[in-house]
Order: sequence, then structure tokens, then C-alpha cells
Amino acid sequence: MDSVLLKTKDLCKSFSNNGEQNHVLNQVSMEIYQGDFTVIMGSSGSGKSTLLYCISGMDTITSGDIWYEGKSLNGMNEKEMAMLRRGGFGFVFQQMHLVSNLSLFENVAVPGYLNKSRTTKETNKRAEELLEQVNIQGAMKRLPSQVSGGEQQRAAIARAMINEPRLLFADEPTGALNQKNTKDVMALLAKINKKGQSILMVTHDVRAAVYGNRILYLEDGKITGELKLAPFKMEEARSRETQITAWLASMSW
Amino acid sequence: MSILAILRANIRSKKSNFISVSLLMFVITLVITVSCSVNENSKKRAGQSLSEAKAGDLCCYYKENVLTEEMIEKAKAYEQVEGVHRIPCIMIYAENSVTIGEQQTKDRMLFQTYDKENMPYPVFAQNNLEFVQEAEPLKEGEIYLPVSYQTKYACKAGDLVEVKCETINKTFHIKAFVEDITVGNPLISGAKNVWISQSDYEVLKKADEKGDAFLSSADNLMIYQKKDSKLQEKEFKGEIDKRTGIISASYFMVSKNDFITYATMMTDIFSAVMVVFAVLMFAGVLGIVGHSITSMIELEYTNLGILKSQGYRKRELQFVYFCQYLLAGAIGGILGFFASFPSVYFISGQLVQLAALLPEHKISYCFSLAAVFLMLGCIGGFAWMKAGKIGRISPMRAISGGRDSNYFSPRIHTTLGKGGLSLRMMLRQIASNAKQYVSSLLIVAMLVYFIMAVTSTMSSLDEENMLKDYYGMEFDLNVGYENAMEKKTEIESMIEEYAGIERSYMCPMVYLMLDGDSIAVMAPESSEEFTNVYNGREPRYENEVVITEIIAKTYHLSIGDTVTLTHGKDSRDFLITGYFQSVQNAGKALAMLKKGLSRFEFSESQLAQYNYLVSDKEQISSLAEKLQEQYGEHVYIINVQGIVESLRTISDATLLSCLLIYGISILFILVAAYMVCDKVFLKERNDYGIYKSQGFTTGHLRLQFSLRFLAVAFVGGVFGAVCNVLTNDSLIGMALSSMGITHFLTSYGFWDCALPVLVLAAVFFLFAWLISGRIKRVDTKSLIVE
Repeated sequence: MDSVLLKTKDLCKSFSNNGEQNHVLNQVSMEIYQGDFTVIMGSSGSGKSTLLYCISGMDTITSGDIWYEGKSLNGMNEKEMAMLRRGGFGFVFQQMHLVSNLSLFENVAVPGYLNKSRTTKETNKRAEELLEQVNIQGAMKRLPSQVSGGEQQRAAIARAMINEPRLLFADEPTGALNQKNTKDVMALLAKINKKGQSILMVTHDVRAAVYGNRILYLEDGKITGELKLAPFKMEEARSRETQITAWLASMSW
Repeated sequence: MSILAILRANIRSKKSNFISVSLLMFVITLVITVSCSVNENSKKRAGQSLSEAKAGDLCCYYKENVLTEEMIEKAKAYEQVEGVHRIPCIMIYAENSVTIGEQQTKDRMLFQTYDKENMPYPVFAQNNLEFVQEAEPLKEGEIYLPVSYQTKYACKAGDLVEVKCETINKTFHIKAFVEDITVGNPLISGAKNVWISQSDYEVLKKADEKGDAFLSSADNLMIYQKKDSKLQEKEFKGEIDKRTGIISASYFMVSKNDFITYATMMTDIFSAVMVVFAVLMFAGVLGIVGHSITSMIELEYTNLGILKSQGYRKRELQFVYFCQYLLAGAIGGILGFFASFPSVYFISGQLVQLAALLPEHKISYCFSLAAVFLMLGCIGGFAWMKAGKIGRISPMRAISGGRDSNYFSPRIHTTLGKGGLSLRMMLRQIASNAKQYVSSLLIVAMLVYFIMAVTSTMSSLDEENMLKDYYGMEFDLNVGYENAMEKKTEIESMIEEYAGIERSYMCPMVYLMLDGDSIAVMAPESSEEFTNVYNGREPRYENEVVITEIIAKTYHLSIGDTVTLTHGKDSRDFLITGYFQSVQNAGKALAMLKKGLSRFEFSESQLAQYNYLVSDKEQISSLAEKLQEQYGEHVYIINVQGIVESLRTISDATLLSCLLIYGISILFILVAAYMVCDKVFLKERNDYGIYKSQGFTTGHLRLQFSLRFLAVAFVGGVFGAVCNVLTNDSLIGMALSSMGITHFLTSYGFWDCALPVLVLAAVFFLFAWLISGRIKRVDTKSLIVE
């Protein structure tokens, strides 16, 4: 049995609109395992992104609980949450959200400076290595506005990886990218997963989902299905796509 | 209609922005309207007051029996003269002879009867807010005092005035107070008119005739110029003096126009300072409006792009911003205009005590409305110009979520690293978008400049500097021996015994005529006594003088020129060797060596005045009292504290402006700091969400955000302080030139400079800290995504 990295129980998130409660997440209970590439899928408005933001501590929850490595996120104060984001979690956004007045290198290095176990020199070295890994070392001195969306997203992944997080969250990381860039970014995520990085990704793109080894289906704020897959191999991509599409069809996708 | 809908939505969503601009315009309009209205009303009232009191075009004052019937007849015979009115007075010149309420006075007083027919000075009603229709004749034991005494001696109608002379003691009840802008103005040092009944006057007159040493007869003479006379004031003075010698013989002479100048000096300074301040504040408002529009366009980039894609043209969207800021300004302007009504009423009430004047409470409609419309025009035009950037918005890029691609472009490269990360990132933020901090920097610079101007000016006008820098000569005690030179040794022994004489020198002060004007002339024995010749050199020979800049400007004189001075029928030429300054006679003063004065026919007794500098300054007042008690009947004593008291009116003149400037500055700082910090935060909140998602703590991010405003405000403050150090002397010299101070010397204390800078930087830091509290309150997702 794989070790549980993150766990939720009866997680609820509601919005009140003119006194009417709108339940975006409805008693979601799930587990994320160490080393998995978990993908959350679901139709538009099913609450995928909200779930990701809630369990990563970036959004508040209405009720329920979240445990990371056995420790409840509910009881954490603002500083503990910051420490968790600094070391335990990494986050990749759909719109990249790089800081526009920092170069790609700086965007990657700045969160690294918060890590007390590394010196500035070590952080800079790691940032350079990561940029090399994501294959944008040539653009590292450029501002986000001076590179393509794909390069920005690769820098965002490198940024998320700078402090070697236990769990990497990715919210539709290919949502704003063209086909080629989508392929590059997903290959990169698959590559780092292969090295042991746990990933939890939200997507509605089947071609991105094929890179995962576990797919959860979210519908009306509830996990309604789970599909377990073998570790991803590029040559099986086409067949996995067919398999996932068929599974999704069975889940009323 | 669609434009109206967008406008309404904009105002609704940016309420704080709208209110802030309105508030600033409210304050500026209020300041300008009140300052101009009070000044206009004061000038008008000063003229009216002189007319109501039937004051002459020239008012001459004579000691003892200098004024002769022959002179009066000659004056009456001059065809340019309408009439002459002589007001006999009894002067009590002994210090501390008169007690008003519970305070002993240091003023000389000219007791005279209240002449309802010929000199009907306006009499205040009990409430000080209006005048009585007809002044009641004074009964025995009743007295009218100048209204400035109400504050000076904390007295009210009904209080007692006790007069203790050598031969008689007399007690009066204060009947009411009088608006006397001739010599009743607290700015005019020297004798003040007080009015008593005919019977009481006779008692004082008899005592004087019997030789009471505390009393002396004197005369006020009003000379009225014919209404159809074509002579200018200066020509009239010159001509009448040439024919009659009536001005040269006077102790001093003041014209009607001079009285108006003195009476409105304070309001002139007040208005000038406040209007300059308001204009600079308005420049600050434009800076804030510009910053606000630029920020809003960046924040609303997508919305504006969508509107453009829906068919809205640049001009229509520009018009929305134009209307938004014009409306905010107009609401503030209109409210400020209406709020000026009670403010003018209030400030006019204060002028009764400060300037001995009760002006009307009218608003200066033409000027005020013109100023409001001009400011609104500037705001509208500026908003239109700034909103022109909407033209650069590309609907396609806006809709695809992108802002201007080169929005950030770092000007300087600060290397980021672990050490001092907040500081390095703060520098990066400033360098990346330096333009947006320029308005904040300038606003802080401006406010620091003004606060420093006010504070340093106040502290520069302290007792120690005042006399040395602004009076012309330095002394602690001045003794006029007149006809009692034989007492000099005794008096000096007493001064030595009580306070120790550090230094003494002879320094007569007389009035000479220059081109028909009465000019105060100080004449020390030695060149070394000239303490404030700031251009050229002090007089060394008998035919040399130094003049004030006011004299230089009035008579078109400069160093190297020759000036002709007249005393009676004697005229002598003097070479101007330099400029000095003196508040004596409101700057209409010059100084020469005593041997220069000896070229005229002055008796030794007239020139027998000595200045003493003592070792123990604390003894000055008590020593003056003792000298007065013992020698008051023989000599005339002025102590420095009396002079400083009258000079301190200069401080009073600026005090009101100072308090207002402080108040307005605080309000302006709060609004400006809020608006600037808020806009910058809104623009960058996405970045803070990103940083927070990467593990930065709220405290770290708030510090990073706030530090930059601390730095900007600090740099702005230092810039303002440096500008003030470089220009304060000229600015204050200009503002106080009507008082005779043209060469102001600011003395800066460390805290005068440091405190405004630190306070303003702290206010900006605090606001930035409070505003950035949203980083803590709002969850990370909302900061990034919404």
C-alpha cells in the first residue's frame, strides 16, 4: 500500500448567494498517495479547481478537514501555512502567474531564497539547474512578457519545484497553451513524476490526463469515480487516451 | 445613456477614489475662498473704518507743545488742504502707570475725549460682532479702549482701568471697545489712543499743567487733502511740509494708505501664504488624479478592452473618466464654496483681536468662483489627457487577459538574494515602475517644504534673534534721558548693580523726511553696532547711510546712490553704503552714525538715548520696573521685552496660517497616502497572491509593500527639506516684506528638518501597512485569480 501524503474527509465548500447556499464541494473524501500522478477531471463547474485550491490551503473550506502527512491543515495558523507552501507544496497555475517584473530566473529563485537550508549561491545554482531541466536556460534573463506561454509555464513548473515540494499541485497547466506546448509541459511533468515527485493535477483535457496514473472524477462537488492506470509510457499514449475517454463516457462526461 | 451607466458603475466601484478627490477639492476651494474673501473684506473694512472715523489723509503726532497755531494756520491756508483737525491728548508715558483689569500695561497711552462729531471711531457692541449705531457719550469715570486690548490685557467691558500718576490717581470703567485702525492696530508699536469724558480729560490736563512728571501733553493732527486735489499722496506730503514744516515737526506721521497697509498686513500675509499653499496642494491633486487614472486604466484594462470591442470609441471612454473626475472635483468645489461662508464668519471674528478690525463676512464671489472653475477646468483637462491612454488598449489583447506587454520594465538591476530580501524586492518594485511613485514623492516633498517653512519660521522668530536680525540694533534696555542727562551715572549704576552692564552705546532714534515721507532713523555712535547689514557695508562716515530694501524699492534707490533727508528746513545728502533690515516703522527705516544725525539741528536732549546690553537677561523686566519707579519722571525707558512683544505680532500673523497649514497638510497626507497606497496595492495584489502561494508570509509581504512607501516618502521628504533650506529665506522674506523683513534668516534645528520627514514617511508606511492588511484578510486564491 502506497503511503498517504494528503487526505480529505467530508470536505465542503459553499457560497452564499442572496441567502441561498451553493455547495461547490460536497463532502469530498479522498487520499493522495506518495509518488502518484493524480489527475482530477470533471465537467466545467464541477468544482475541480476549487478542490485543488482548498486542499492546497489557498482557499478556505466551509467544513470537513484536510490532513497533510497526518497533520490537519485546519489547525494551522497563517505562518504554518506559509511554511507548508514553502517546503511541502508547489503550485502551477493555469495562467502561469509569474511575477511580471522579475526575470524567469528570478521568478524561480525568489521562493528558493525563503529556504533556510540553502545559501543564495546554492539556490541560484538549483534555479539554473531547474531552468536547464525545463529547457529554458536560454531565456532565463528575460521577463515573462518577453517569452512564450509555454516557456512561461515551464518556468512556473521550475518555480514550483525550487524547494523540492512533497506534493506539486497543477491547475489546468496546459489550459492556456497550444498543442505543442501542451505536449512539452506534460512531458516535463511526467518526467519529474518519474523521478518520484507526487503530482495532483486538475484538467479537463484527456490528452493531458493520460500522463497520470490515477484519475478521480468530480461531479457536482463529489468524487464519483476513480480510474487507476499503470505508470505512463509515451508509446501507450494513444491507447490510454481511448481508455480514459471510454471511462469518462461511462461517468456521463 | 450608456455612457451614464458606465460612469455610474465607475463611481460606485471606486467610491473611495471619488470621495478622496472631492475631499481634497473641498479643502482647496475652502482655503482659497476664505483667504481671498477675508483679505478683500479686510481691505474694504480698513478703508471704511478710516472714513467712518473721519481720519485725515495724513495723521501727524506731536510731543509736548511742538505743534503751533501758526503751523495749523499755514496748513489751512494751503489750497490743496480741505481742512485740519487738531486732537489734543494727554500722554501717559510712564511704564506701569496704568493697570487694566489685573495687568499693568507697558503701553504709552494718548488720553483724549471721544469726539462724536469730528472723530467718531466705530464702537463695538457687547458681542464684538457689530458696531453700535450711535456711540453713547462718555460719562465721568468711563473709558473706551482699543479692541486689541481685549486680548492683550484679557479685559472686558465693565473692568477697571487704574491710572496712577505722580499727583493723581484715577479709576475708569471700561465702557466699550473701539475699532481704531490708526494706532489701535497691535502691529503698530507705541502709543495707543484711549477715550475718556471731557471732565476726566480736564482733570488729567490740570495735573499735567501742574507738572505731573508722568503726564505730558501731545497732539494728534488730522490733515485732509481736498477731494479734487490732483496731487499724489507723496507730492501732497512733500508740498505741505515744504510750505508749513508741519510734517517735519511731528514725532511721526502716517498716511491713510499706510494705515490701510498696516491694518491689512496680517490678512495679506495670511492670504498670500494660504493661496500659495493651496496652489501647490492643487498641483498635488493633479498628481494624484493622474496616478489614479493611470492605475485605473491598468486595472480595468480587460473591461476597457471589452467595451472597445463592443463598439465604444476612445473618446467616449475618455469622456467617462473626464466626467468622473470633473464631477468629484465639482462636488468638492461646491461644498468647499458653501463651507467657506461659516469659515469666513469665524475668521473675520478672529481678526477683531488680531488686527483690531471687524471686516464684513462677504464671500468674494467673482474671484472664488473663477478659481473654482479654473481648477475644475484643469482637473477636467488633465483627466482627459491622462485618459488618452485608453487609445492604446488593444481589445484583442485585453480580452485574452493580457495587459500592456511592456508594463514593467526595470530601470535598474538590483540583484535578489537571501539577505535583505524585503529590501531588495522593495527596490526592485520601485525601479520597475518608478513613474508611479513620482506623484507621491512630490506630494511629500511639497508638504515637508511647507511644514518646514512654517516650523522653522516660527522658531526663527524667537526673542534672541528677533531684535538682532529684524530690529536693526541690539539692546536689552533703551533709556531716553531727554532733559535728565545728569541722572545717567545714577541710572547706569543701578543697571550695573541689578543686571550688570555688558555693553552700552548711544543710539538715538528720530524721524526724518525722505521725499515727503516720515522715515525712522537709528543712529548709533559706532559702526560696530550695525548688526544686520547684509549687503554692502555699514556707514563709517557722517555722510553715509544704510537703507532697508523697502526704502530702496519705494524710492528707487540702491547702493552708491545719494539720498536727501530733511529735518525741518535742513536737507542733507547721504551716500547709501548698504542694505540692512528693520521692522521699525514697518521697514521704512534707515540707519546712520550718530555723527551723521548731528548734521541736522537736533538738541542734545533729543539725541540722548542709550542702549544697554546686560549680563543677567532675567532681570530686564524687574530692572525696568525699578528704573521706572525711581526715574520715570525724568527718563523714558524701553525694555527689550516690550519690543519683542510687538515684534511677536509677526508670529501671530503667521500663526493662523501655520495652524491651518498643519491641519490641511495632515488631511492631505492621509488622503494622498490612502489613494496612492490603495491604487498601487490593487495593481500588485496579484503578485502578492503569487508570492503568498510560494511561501512568503503575510508579514514579509506587507513589510515589502510598506517599506517602499517609507522609502519614497523619505526621499520625497529629504528633497522637500533640501528645497526648503535653499529657498525658505527668500520665500519668507517675500511674505513678510510688508512688515519690513526682506532678508529673512531661517535658523534650522535638527528636529525642524527631521520631524516632518519622519512623520510623513511614517504616515505613508502606516497606510501602506494597513492597506496591505488585505494580503492577510483575503485568501491566496482570491488575490491571484479575482
